[in-house]
This record gives sequence, C-alpha cells and structure tokens, in this order.
Amino acid sequence: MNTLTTDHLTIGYPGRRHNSPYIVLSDLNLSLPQASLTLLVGANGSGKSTLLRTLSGTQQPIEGSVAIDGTPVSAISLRQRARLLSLVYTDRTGGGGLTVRELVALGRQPYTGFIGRLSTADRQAVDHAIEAVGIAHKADSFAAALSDGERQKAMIARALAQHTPIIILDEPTAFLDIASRLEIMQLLGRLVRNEKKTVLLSTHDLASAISVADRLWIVDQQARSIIEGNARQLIDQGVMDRVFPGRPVTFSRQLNDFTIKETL
Amino acid sequence: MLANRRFIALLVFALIIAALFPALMLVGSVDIPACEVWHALTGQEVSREAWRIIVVDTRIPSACTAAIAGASLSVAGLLLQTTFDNPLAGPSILGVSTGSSLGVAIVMLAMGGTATLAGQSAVLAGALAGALLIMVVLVAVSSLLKSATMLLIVGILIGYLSSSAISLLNFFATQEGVHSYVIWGLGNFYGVTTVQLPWFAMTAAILLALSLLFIKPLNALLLGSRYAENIGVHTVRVRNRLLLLSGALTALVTAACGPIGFIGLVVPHIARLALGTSNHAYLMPGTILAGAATGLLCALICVMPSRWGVMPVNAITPIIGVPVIVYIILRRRKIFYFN
Repeated sequence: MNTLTTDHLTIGYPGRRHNSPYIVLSDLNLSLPQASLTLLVGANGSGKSTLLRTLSGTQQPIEGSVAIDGTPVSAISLRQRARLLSLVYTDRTGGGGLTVRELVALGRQPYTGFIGRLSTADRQAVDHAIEAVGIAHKADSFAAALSDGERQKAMIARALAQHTPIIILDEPTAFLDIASRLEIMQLLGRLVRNEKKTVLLSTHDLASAISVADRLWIVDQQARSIIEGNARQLIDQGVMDRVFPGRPVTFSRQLNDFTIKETL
Repeated sequence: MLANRRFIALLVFALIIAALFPALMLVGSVDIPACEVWHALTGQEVSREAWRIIVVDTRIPSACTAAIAGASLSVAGLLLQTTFDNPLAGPSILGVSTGSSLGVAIVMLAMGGTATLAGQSAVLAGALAGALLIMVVLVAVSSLLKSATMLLIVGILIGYLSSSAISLLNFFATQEGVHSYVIWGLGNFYGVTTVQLPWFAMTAAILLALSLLFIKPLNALLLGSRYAENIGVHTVRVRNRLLLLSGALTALVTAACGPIGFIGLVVPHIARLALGTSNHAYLMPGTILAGAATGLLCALICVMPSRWGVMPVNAITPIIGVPVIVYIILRRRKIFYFN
C-alpha cells in the first residue's frame, strides 16, 4: 500500500508576471510504500528541499499533484495534514527555554483543544516518544542544554508524538558527529520496523544511511527527474553515479559512499 | 521542582503588587496621615475634603492606570518578541507607539496646545487613529512577507517615517503646541480620570484575555514558522492577529499615558528570568503580573521626591530597563531562551 504518491508532479518556482516558471524537477511519479525508509539522494541545489516542501504542502507544485492515501494534499486542511505528516529539519530552532517534555508535547497540538491542555493519553504519547528516541533521562532538561545530537532526537520525538503515519526529514544528521549520525539512522530504522512509520529523508551521509534504507530516490539532475527503486538494486545498476555528473567522484560499493575517481 | 519555581515566581510578583499598591496610596506630593488615607479608601469621614479628593480621584486612578499600563505594554512586548523571534522586539520598536505619537502630534500642534476637555478627547482619538493606521500598514505588509525579520525591519522603517513627520510638524508648530506635545511625550499615569478608569480597565482586560487565548500558537511559534505550520498553525494569520492585538494594547496605553518606553521590552525578560521558562502557559500570566508590578514601581519612583511633584515616567523606565538589558546582553549564554 502506498501512503504518499505524486502524479505527474512538476516542482519549481512560479515566474513573476509573464515569465515562465523556473522548473527544478518535472513529471515525477513517485510513491512511498507504507512502513519503509526511503532515502532522497542528490547534489546540492538539485531540488531535494524543494521536493520535500512540495510533498509536505508548504510549497505549491507547478503542475501535477501530491496525494496522501489518495487525497490531494491541497485538499487537506492544515490541521488535518498535521495528523498525517510530520517534519524534521536540519537547523537548530528556538524553544530553548522549554523542557524536552514541553518541546515534544508541542507535537500533540493537532490533537489538543483551543487552550492546548494535555490529556492523559497526550502525556502518555509524549512519554512514549521520548522513550522511543532514548532521551528519557533528559526529559526535564531545557532544550537549550542538549547537545546537537540529543536535540535532533528531541525533534524526532516531537514528530513521533504527532502520531503521523508519514515522517519527512530534511538532512536530519547534518552537523552531527558520526556517533550521533549512526544512532539517528538506527533510530529511524527502528521506527519503520517497530512503529510502522513511513519515513522519507534527504541526506548526504550515505555511509550511515544506506544500511537502513529500503528504497532510494536518486535525483538525476541532467534528466530533471528522480530515479526510484530498491536501494540495493539501484546501487548495483550503478545509478548512483548519476548524482554527480561531470564531477570527479564515483560511488564505491565497498564504502557505501562516494569517493574520488581514481585517475590513471 | 520546575513547576514549583514557576508558581513561587508568580506568587512573588503578586506579593510585590500587593505591597506597592498601599505604598502608592500613602506616598505623594501631599503628606496625608495613614489613618486618613484608610478612611478615604473605605469611604469613612476624612478630616480634610482635599485629602479625600487626592486619594480617591488621583492616587487610586493613577495607581490602577500604572498597573494596567504596565501589564498591557509588557504583554504587547511578549507577543512581539515571540512573533518576531527577537529578544529586542517591543511595542516602541515596531512603529505603533510612534504612530500614536504622530496622531497626537497632529492633534496637539494643529490646536496649538489648548488643554480643554474637547482637546483631551481629540488627543485620545489622535493616538488611537495613529496607532491604527500603522497597524493596518503593518498587517498589509505582513501578508506579503514570509520572513518575520523583514517585517520587523519594515516596522522600524515605518517608525522612522512617523518620527520624521513628527519633527516636521514640530518645526512648523507654535511654541505652546510644541510644549504640550513634549510634556505628553514624557508620559504620565495621571491622564485617566475616575470616570474613564472603568473603560480603560475593561478594554485592557478584554485585550489581555484575548492574549491568553494565543498561548497555544505562541508556544508553537517558539520552534519557528515551519515547525509551527507543521503542527497546524496558520502562521501568517496568527502573526497578523498577534500584531493587531499587540498594536491595540500599545495604542490603548499610549492614548492614556503617552508613549512609555522600555517596560514592554524589558518586562518579558524579567518574567522569563524569574520563571525560568519560555512556555507561554506560565510566561503569559507571569508577564501580566510582572508588568503590573513594574508599572506600580515606576509610579512609586515618580512620586518619591515628593517636594518636586511627579517626575515623568519616561525618565524612570530606563533606570529599571537599562540594567536588565545590559544583564541580558552580558549573560546571553546563560539565558538560553533565544538560541
């Protein structure tokens, strides 16, 4: 079963007045199977963030549509969308004066009433989310007192508390050390297996990500499209080398990462 | 433990208010014995009629005005600081109070500084109209701009434009007009009469109650507009409503007391430091109480040198405000609410 699908989706930026729109990627027919982890791989400026924004409904498509369980995203209200899809970004945010518990509890806002009072079920959801990402010992610390890695785990816990079937992460492990990167990727893998979440994340950190990825979306900048498929198969077919056309790097299957092309 | 600290801070603010209120009844340019003040407050016989009038018609309304003005400006400041994710945002920075001043300047300088009753209501109307005009411009711009920082810059620029218009008006006005405008600009808590006080208090109470309704989206905005939108907050719509609300609070106080600086900027920080949180469920009531306490403290300092009458409010607010701002700048790393 597919949770999120795109239908002849063209993404980019609308032109001012009579100028034609600036098209980043066109005619995308993608799908996210339920309870899978999909890795979005592409060079800087290839349109990964634009795609993630369009999928989450914060940016309008140029053409085509995005649907969640068959309903077009544009027809889903903001509050309803908040119960279907949660997001995690790269950068540090405000909210340092909240405790981790308060921060994670913000994920319950789509379910709470006008005042935002938490029910017992809401509190349990918050505790469960904090537990699941492994920062229960920090639950009463200020968010500002966390390390970058712990903070990103707290943001993932916030997304978990949101109880959405789909979680989209835009480079969640950038700026993190190797231990935190591996921990977070293992954590996301667990969420897919144990909680049946559908996870899509963009990353440049293939070495830590590929082992837990089920599927790949590879941005082919020259064709302005995305190649979609099983992670192992695409790698074996050598599709990874289309990520950096004309650049002196190649994908190494031993390292599971890009490496400098050997010159003869 | 955390919850305890927050409740203790709220309690301390309430106690400070409870202590300052009677102090303001006792201190003033006229020495009135404490028992006579008590008689006047409780409606008993007072040995001199003048004392009764001073307590009932001057000290009570001015103390109430100071508390209400302090609370309103502080909440306006808190709303703006969270909306713009900027610790230095405040009611006087966004041009709203400058807009009020512009309205008052037009009224006063056109009338040449006559202090009649009709003149007073015209000043009030001018202050409200000026603030409203700036707010409408800001909200219109806000719908066009996604970035809160850009909007803040536009607000500051609008404030400068208003200031330049005020300077021009002053340049062409009569000496009496300029004088009364300058006096108004110094700020005071004595502009609200006993008859006006219930209206002033009721309007402020409604606006403060409305602010309490925004606790949930304000907490969402702490994470930035992208995360806020992801948990179901219509960020531009909420931002516009918060702008209108803080603008209305500022306009109300500026119309009644003149442009009072620093309180709106500083008190939210005092509340954050004392309560140790940026969760608006605690911070909002904390800011209301701390604002009222700060307003009363300013009013008390203004009447302390009783021989020389009442000092202007704007001469006092920086004395409280500047140390707090310096503390925040120096210990920014310890005050981790803004990273």
